[in-house]
Amino acid sequence: MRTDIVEAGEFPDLAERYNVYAVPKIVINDTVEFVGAQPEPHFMRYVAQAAGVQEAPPTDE
Amino acid sequence: MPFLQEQDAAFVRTRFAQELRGDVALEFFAPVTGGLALPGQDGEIAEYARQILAEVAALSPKIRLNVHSLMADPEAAKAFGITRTPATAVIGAQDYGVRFYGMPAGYEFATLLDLIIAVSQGSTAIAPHTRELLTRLSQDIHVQVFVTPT
Repeated sequence: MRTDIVEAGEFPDLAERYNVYAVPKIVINDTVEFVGAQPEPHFMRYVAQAAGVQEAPPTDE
Repeated sequence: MPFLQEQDAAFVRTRFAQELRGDVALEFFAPVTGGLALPGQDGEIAEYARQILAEVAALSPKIRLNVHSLMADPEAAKAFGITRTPATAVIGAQDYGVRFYGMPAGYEFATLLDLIIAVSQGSTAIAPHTRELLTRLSQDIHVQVFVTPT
């Protein structure tokens, strides 16, 4: 897993490519995206979705 | 004029002394370094980012700043997967794959401090469920987090 933290204002080409109108905007594998900080179990559901992994319901919510 | 006021520097210095464990390398990539001045906004932003990192690195003997030029040192850029500048790879005992693109100022300064401490400790407070899910991933995951300093 690799993670890029990108200052949207300094990389307008990326901000445009990923339609960044509000921050934080998170894009996973160019396929799954959402806006706003999410609780960890929700964040991981997006990761699982991007990876095509069957996600069991979180036990620690 | 320094980026950090003395009061803030003292706070960060204390936090590093208490929370850092292993050494951390800040691998910073500017478009160019050295005597060649780069005109325009990109060069100014990169220089400002370098100054912030230099001030942070000065606050703990466990943090080292290595400054690279993307143009002059393409091998290092390739090794860290850097294709744009300014970029910073925050490396602990191992490379956890986190890169910071742009200036770590404003709210993102706190992100930088948390990141340095996390890679230094080599652990995070992620939930067991998260850990379990990560072990089941077979394909690479690339997360991009777009932020602004304000």
